[in-house]
Amino acid sequence: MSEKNYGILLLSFSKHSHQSSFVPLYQQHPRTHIVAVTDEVDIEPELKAVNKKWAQQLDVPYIEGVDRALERADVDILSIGHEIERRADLALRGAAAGKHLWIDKFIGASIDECDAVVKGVEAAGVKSIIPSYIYGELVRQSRAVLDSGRLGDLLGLHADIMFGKGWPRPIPSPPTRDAFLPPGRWKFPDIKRELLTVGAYSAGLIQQCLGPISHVYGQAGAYFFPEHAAHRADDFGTLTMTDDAGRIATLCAGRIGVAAHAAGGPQQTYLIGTKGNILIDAKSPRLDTFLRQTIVATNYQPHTEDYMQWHSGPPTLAAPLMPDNAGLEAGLQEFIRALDEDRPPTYTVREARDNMEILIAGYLSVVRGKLVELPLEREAS
Amino acid sequence: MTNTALVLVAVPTQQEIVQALCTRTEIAAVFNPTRRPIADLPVPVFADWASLEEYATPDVCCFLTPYAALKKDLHRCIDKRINVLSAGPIGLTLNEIETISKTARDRELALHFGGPYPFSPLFQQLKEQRQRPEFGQPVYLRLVQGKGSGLQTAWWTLCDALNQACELLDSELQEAYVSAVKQNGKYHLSLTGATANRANIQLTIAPLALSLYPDITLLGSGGLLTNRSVSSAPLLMGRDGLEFHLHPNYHPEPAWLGDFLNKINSANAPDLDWPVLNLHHQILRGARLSMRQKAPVHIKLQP
Repeated sequence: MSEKNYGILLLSFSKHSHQSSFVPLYQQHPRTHIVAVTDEVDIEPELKAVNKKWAQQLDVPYIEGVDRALERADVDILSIGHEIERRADLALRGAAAGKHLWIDKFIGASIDECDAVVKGVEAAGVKSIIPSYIYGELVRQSRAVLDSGRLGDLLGLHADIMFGKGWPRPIPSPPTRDAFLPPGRWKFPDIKRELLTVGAYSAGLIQQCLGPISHVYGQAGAYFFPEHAAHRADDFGTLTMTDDAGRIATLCAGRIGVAAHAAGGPQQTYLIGTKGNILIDAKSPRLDTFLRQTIVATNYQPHTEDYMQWHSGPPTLAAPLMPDNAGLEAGLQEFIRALDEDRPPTYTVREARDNMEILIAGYLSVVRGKLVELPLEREAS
Repeated sequence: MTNTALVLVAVPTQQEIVQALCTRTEIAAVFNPTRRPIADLPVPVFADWASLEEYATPDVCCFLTPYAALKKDLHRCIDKRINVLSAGPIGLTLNEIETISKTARDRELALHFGGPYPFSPLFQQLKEQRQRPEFGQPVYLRLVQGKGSGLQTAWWTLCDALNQACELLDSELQEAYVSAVKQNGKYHLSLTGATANRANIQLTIAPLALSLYPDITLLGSGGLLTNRSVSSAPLLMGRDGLEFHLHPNYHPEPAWLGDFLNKINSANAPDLDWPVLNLHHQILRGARLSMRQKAPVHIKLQP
C-alpha cells in the first residue's frame, strides 16, 4: 500500500512569519506537496503581491479568499503564516474545514484567542503542530541529557537566546518602565516585540523540561533600536519563573544587533541538576570560520527592505555542523508520523497556548512591576 | 613551635585555592571544619581550634568557606584579637554584626566581609572592556557559578556574584527577586535584578564545586562580552577522564589576601558596608522563604 502524500495550502507570506522558510521543507519532503497559496481578500496590496509572487514561483494557483481555498479536497494541511492577529480565526476556520494545522509560532494574540483555538481544534479532531519551539537542537540535546539521568533531578534551567540581527543605534531618551507598552499589541510595521518573538523558544524549552509554570517575573525595555523605544516596546527582556515544584527557570531574549556573537547570537541553556550541570549550546557543534577577507574587507549593513533581518541572517564567523539546527525538518517528520499514526504531535496548539500564557504573564509582570501568578485571570489576557 | 601568622579556614573542595595561597603567601596553618581530609597541602591542617592554637598564634584568620560553626568561630577570633577576612557574609543579624564590629574596632582589629573577585583577571578584563566606549550602555549580565552544594555556600556565591554584577554594571541595585530550590541536600539559587541604569541581572548558583571562574555574559548596546570558564581553562584529556590544569596565577585569592594584609599593615582596613550587609542578610531570608513558597521572593531594598 502506498503512503499518503499530503497536500499543503500555504496561507499567507506575511513579513512577520516564517512561511518562506517552510517552503523548502514541503518541497523536499517525499510525502508533502504544495497545492496552492491563499490569503484573505482584504489584505494590503503589498502582501497580495508577495503572495502572488510566491505562487508564481512555486507554479501553483493563488486563491483569493481563504474559505474558497479550504474547499479544495486536495488540501490536507493548512500552513498558517499570517499575522498573529489573524491566526486564531484562520486556525479555527481551517480546523472547521477538517484541515490539519501547521502554525508558525503563535496561535493567537491573547489567551482568550488561544483558548478558542485549542477548543476548536480539539473539537474538530484535526491534528496541529507548532513546529518552531521544541524540535531544534536546544530541546533535543536538553531532553537527551535529562533522559539519561546523568544530571540527577533537575533543579533549574537558564536559557539565553539572542538574535544578533538588526543595526542598533543610540536611543536618545529611552522610555521608562512605567511607560512600557502593555501586552496585546505585538507588532508594528517596523518592529516585533522581541521578548515574545525570541522568548517563545526558551519558553518552549522550559515547558519540555519543567512542570507547569506557577509564577513569572519579567523585565523588558528598549535598549538597541530607536524603533522599539518609539513604540515603548521591548527589543530585549528577561523572565524568571518557578514551576509547581519550585524549580527555577530564567531566560533572556532579544534582538541585540549584528556582529555581537561569532555564530549570530547565543542560543544556549544551563541545566542545573542535583548530580551535575550542563551547558548546551544550540550553535554547537560548529566550525569556526576566520576567513580574512570576510573580516577585514567587510562593509556590512542589513538590507534596507529587511532592516530588522526578519528574513535574513547576519554575517557570522562560524558554520553549523548540524544540518537541522532549528528543527523544522524534524518538526515536519513528526507531523507526518503523527498524521500516519492518528495521534497528536508532541507540541500542539494546547502547548502553544500555555507558552503564550507564560509570555503574557511576563509582560504583565513588566507592566505591574511585580510577580504574576499563573494561571492568568481572564481579564488579564 | 609557635608561628605568628595567617590561618586559612577551608574545605577539601578548596584544595587548589589553598595551594595557590600557600605558594604566594606564608600560611601558618589551615583549619578544616569538615571531617573529610584536604590532601597534599604544604602546611599543617587542623580539625579543631585548640590544636591549631597550640601550633600557631594567628593574627589573621581568612575564612574561605561558610560552615555551621562560623559564627562561633568569628566571635572566637575577635575575642582572641585576630583580624578577620571573610570571603562571604556571616549569618548574623545587623545588630549582632554591629556589636562584633564595635568590639573589633575597640581592639583595633580589621573585620572585612567580601570575596576575592576584584582581583580576578576575568573580572578585571570585563571591567576594562566594559568601560570602552564601544561597549555602549550596559543591558544585561548573566553569571553562572557553583562553589558547593549547601545553602550557606550558595548564599556566599550569590552575594559575591551580585557584588560583581553591580560593579560591572557600574550601578546600584534597584529591584531584586531571589529564587531558591533544594533537593537531596543540593541548593540551587537564582537572583534576578535591575539596576538604576536600566540593566538587568540574572545570577545562577549551581550546587557544584569547581575552582573555575564564573561564566559571565555581559551585554551592552554595543556588543557582547562573554566567557566560558570550562573552555578557557587548559584541559588535560587522559585515560581517567578530563582534568583542568589551571594557570599558576589563575586564582585571585592570593592577591586578595595580600591586599588585606597591606591594608592592615598600613592601618587602612576597609570599613563594613552596612547597606550591602543588610542586602545579603535579606537575600538569605528571601532564599529560605522562596523554598517554602516555591516562588521567587521580592527583596526590599534600602532607599
